[in-house]
Amino acid sequence: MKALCWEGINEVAVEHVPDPTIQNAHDVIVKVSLSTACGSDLHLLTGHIPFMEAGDVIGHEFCGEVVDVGRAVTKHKPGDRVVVASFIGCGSCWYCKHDQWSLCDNSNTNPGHTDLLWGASPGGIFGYSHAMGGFKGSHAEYIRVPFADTTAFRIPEPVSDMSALFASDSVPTGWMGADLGGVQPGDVVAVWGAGAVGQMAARAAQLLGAERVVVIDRFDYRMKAARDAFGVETLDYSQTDVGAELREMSAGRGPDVCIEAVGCEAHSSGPQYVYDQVKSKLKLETDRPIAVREAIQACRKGGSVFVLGVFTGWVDKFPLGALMNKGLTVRGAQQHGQRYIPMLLDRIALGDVHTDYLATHVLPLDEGQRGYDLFKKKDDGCLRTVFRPASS
Amino acid sequence: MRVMMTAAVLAGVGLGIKAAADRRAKQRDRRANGRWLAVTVCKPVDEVGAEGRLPEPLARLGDHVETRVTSAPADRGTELYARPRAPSPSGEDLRSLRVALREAKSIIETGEVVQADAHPSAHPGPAGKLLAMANRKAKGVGRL
Ligand SMILES: NC(=O)c1ccc[n+]([C@@H]2O[C@H](COP(=O)([O-])OP(=O)(O)OC[C@H]3O[C@@H](n4cnc5c(N)ncnc54)[C@H](O)[C@@H]3O)[C@@H](O)[C@H]2O)c1
Ligand SMILES: [Zn+2]
Ligand SMILES: [Zn+2]
Repeated sequence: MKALCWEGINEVAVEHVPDPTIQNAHDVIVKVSLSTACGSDLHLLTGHIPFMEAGDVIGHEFCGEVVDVGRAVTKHKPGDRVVVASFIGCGSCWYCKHDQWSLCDNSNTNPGHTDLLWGASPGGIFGYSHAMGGFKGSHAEYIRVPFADTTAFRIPEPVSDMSALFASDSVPTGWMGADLGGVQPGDVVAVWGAGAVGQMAARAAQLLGAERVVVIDRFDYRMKAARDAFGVETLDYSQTDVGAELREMSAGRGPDVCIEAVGCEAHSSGPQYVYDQVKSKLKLETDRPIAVREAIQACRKGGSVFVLGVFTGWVDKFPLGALMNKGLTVRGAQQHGQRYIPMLLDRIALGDVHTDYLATHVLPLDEGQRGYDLFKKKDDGCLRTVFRPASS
Repeated sequence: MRVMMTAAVLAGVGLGIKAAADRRAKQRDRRANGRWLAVTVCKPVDEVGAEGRLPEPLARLGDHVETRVTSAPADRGTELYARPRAPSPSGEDLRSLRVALREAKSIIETGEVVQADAHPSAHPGPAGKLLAMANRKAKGVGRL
């Protein structure tokens, strides 16, 4: 089959690779109909996650049709249309049973790597390096889905593949930021990053009752998409003093909940950008926590900051003083998709959550390099590049 | 080519950090001789099995390991402890014990041990080959 593979820094290519087969009793094989590039892939492409081999298939946010099932699978049969959570959850360990699915104890085949780096290993994810599971990705004609009863979800009839696709990763990630960030009715919520994840976090905050939701970015077309889709307010960090604006918008209090959806390659126009660039080039820090710093500084006393953006290692100039003295709650997580996907599919069916507008560029796998270049450079109004492997 | 070089350098740096962590882990292994390794299994004690009725990955180690099973606090299930009876100076037995504990836990909880996808990359490159070697060892290392 054809698959889009990581070949090196900022380089992907279509290769012919063997078709996946059932390897475990709880596996299914899915024929991928749609698979989207995600901001997390950009961190793979730039080499922030160095556990990649040239030729590894990437992609983790996808949907398709079940074509083969392992003997222990009870919930799926060939022909089912499914959306698959990006993190693989066994459904039986303590973490899965407590709805913390991305922390699954049994779905990472190489737990030693992250155990040593982070003190414990999270669960496995598709197409996201050998440290995060060692599974092939979804930018391919077919994919093997382990623990399929608890990782794949039937798409309700009225929901199209294109709408369901984002329920795999970006919608539940955004929802988790607002939910576990503790958004309450009446809250002012600020979201850093107007990518798919930030936009979905903003929508979730609205649906959880926030009074005012503000999305921060520098790309006009992205902020316009957020305004048009959900009527949120936006701030351009390259043009304005974000902290001062947020204080004014919350009558001096600061946002109750700050959601960071930017990640380890944050950009900034200020001197701290140069500082972080130099530090990371010298390997004195691995990640640039620019939006996290700003969120902690802006947050109201006693408020909460949720880190959705992906970070891999160590950061510098972390505002621990502000965190401690303002009594903040700072929390982060890889997404617990299984906790939210069924509810989100219902909301998508009801029209509460629109998602298809995120697919600004729909391409065959053969245009993988162009698709990632557009997404990375935020060119041509690209919110997300979606691949349609069957049309390759 | 430059891109490939950068990739190799970055992978090298990443693996370098990992190698340092691995070295520390080996030192820890040497110091840990005699200490129990443990996993908490999300099942009641009677499903985890007393000594002699442990799942295959642990049973296979036979008399070389000593095991202990106790109930975990609250809803956490069962604590499964094991340690080599006569620890080897190289720490190799700790690595096979970690694999056995991880696999035993997975079998008791889910009925299987999930495999990485078959057919690894056909052209991993030099950095990828190093990584593949590290992957083969990854189940035997860690903080467990
Ligand atoms: N926690 C999870 O499980 C999970 C799941 C999916 C994605 N992610 C992470 O979420 C982040 C966003 O993903 P995405 O797909 O939306 O990516 P994206 O690249 O489409 O969007 C990121 C946005 O952040 C903006 N940005 C950069 N620097 C900024 C700053 N200083 N302040 C405000 N905005 C800034 C960029 O302009 C861009 O629009 C990534 O780090 C990704 O890895 C996490
Ligand atoms: Zn993602
Ligand atoms: Zn689990």
